[in-house]
Amino acid sequence: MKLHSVKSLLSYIAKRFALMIIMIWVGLTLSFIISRLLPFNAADYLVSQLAAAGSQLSAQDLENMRRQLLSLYGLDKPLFVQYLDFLRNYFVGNMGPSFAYFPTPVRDIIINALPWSIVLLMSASIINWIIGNVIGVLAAISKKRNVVAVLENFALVTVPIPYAVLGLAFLIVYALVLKLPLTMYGRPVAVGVSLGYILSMFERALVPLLGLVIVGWTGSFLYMKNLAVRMMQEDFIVYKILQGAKDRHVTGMVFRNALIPQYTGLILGLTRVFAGSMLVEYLFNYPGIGLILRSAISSGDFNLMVGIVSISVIAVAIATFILDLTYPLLDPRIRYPGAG
Amino acid sequence: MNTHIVLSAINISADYILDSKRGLYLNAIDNVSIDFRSDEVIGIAGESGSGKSTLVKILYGAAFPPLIIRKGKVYLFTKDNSKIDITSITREELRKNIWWKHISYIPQNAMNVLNPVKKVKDQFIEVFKYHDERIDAKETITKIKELFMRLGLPIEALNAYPHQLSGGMRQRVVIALSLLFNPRIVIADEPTTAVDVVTQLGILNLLKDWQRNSKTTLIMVSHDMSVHAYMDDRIVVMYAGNVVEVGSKNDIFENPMHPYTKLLIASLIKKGEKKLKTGIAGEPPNLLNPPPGCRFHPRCPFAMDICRREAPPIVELSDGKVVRCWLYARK
Repeated sequence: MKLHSVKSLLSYIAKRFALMIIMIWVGLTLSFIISRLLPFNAADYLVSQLAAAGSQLSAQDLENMRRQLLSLYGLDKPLFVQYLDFLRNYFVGNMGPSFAYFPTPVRDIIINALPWSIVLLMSASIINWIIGNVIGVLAAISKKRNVVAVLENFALVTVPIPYAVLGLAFLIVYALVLKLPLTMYGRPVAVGVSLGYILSMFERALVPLLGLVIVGWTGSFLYMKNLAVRMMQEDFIVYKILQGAKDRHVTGMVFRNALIPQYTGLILGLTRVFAGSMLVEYLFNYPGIGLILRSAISSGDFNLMVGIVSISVIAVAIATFILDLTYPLLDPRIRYPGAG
Repeated sequence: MNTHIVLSAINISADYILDSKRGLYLNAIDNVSIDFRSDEVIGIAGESGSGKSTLVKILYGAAFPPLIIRKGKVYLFTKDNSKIDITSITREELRKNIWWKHISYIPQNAMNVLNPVKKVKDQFIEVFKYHDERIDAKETITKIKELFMRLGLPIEALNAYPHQLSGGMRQRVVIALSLLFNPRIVIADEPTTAVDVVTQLGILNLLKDWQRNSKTTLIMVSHDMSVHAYMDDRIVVMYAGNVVEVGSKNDIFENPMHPYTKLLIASLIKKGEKKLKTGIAGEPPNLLNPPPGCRFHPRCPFAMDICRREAPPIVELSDGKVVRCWLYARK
């Protein structure tokens, strides 16, 4: 019996792992294809920049230069060979050189920019999730109808508005109306893994983080509140009340049961961190990976583009794998599929 | 008879608020008085919407909005003979000291009443916590195991999650939960509606054996007259929020008094009978706007003039029989 369950556990993990690998492969292939579907490439871009700058080079020289750049970037090979090279390189963790910042490896660019996005967006996701869920449950059981109505209306108004508008509005109120200090321009701190550097990251992230949290908790709040309201009418909650459960026991139980779907939201939300947020980073002039992705796309930098997207693909695949592994811990109905 | 009253409902009337601004109320319980005695199984019978579940909610003290009690009292008599009015004590008092200790409840839908993410064992331990029973973990487990043994339940069920148990087993676990503190009154609200007849018999036997051994009060709510025939000592028949008749099981089945009870009993299928059965003509009244006078008069074959004008009095006959009908009123 024991042996059997260990065996089934291992086969469960192996299956999920295989699924994860397939997912990563499909994701990488798709991002490769999409990058090659761009109507121009990095060599075209560079040459056109040169031509636009009004250089003295003849058309023949420009064409030669374009050819050289193509062979340098490896873009002159047949597409299929490029694809195989690409897969082989990714397998050993090599994302190739960036075209726009040639020959800086894509990996180095990502490693420099990613921590910024992670610091900002991951803290925002986690804070929003916690605030939203806690207030959501409290709102569902609260007897202060007025307070709940105010929160709910605020959430209902802000949720459908795009962040471009909300973020800008926040900035205007923050900087022009309240005239609060803008910390996101930072102060010079040596780059490296030091406490000072990490602190300076958080310092720069503070204003955008505030901007993300002020309107960002509403989504999980609304979802959690609806979930909890419905859960309050579940037979097992009503029964607990009739058993004489204290209010805090009831709240705890509602939270525990509503956590199962919300947990998925949290983990999948965290993976969005790895693609950065172009909008937020642009709005707050924050040096994250979203800004890099934007410039990579506009300059036809295939390697950098695919590199950033692939990080995100891999993050989603790993997060799904982690979800599959941790879900049974949270929900016994998955842990022990039963007679029920 | 060496029994005494343990729970007494006096002139209960209760409404469901549908729309308080427009004054829409659904009169679910109308002037109901019943005494519940120790060492008896008392059944509450009636069709859907007759107010059975509402009545037991009130008896249990769980009348939450939109249900409101218009008038009446429910008295609980404790072991030391003090008298507690369930309708007026605080929720906290009720929760901590009355529920589960004096009076416990077996809910209607036992399939879904156990918390899906907790083991059965932990759901028992939780109940100890709710009532501030401070005993150590080992003792708690021993106590729960004893209870399971006494009720003939497999001990392994304790370490299972609810979804791993069959429906009948879940129902038994819920029954065991309700008997945890040896309450003097147990309300079973349709305890066997969701299970098949074989499991039903097992569950009814479980409840009956427990009641006979502990000499407590079991209030059985069911629409199923065969359950009442099997279980009850006394039967309360409800119709449209009224108690129309109270009597011993034999009286109700052999010698029903109220016209509704008569028609109800006549509609039951008896062994060996080949005749086609007819139901009671008409439909139960709309309780938003109940008929004047007796609520049964539109369907009653014996309806008289007075039935349409005035609500019938509660007539007490010999041997504790009660019937609410003008036919038996001495004028």
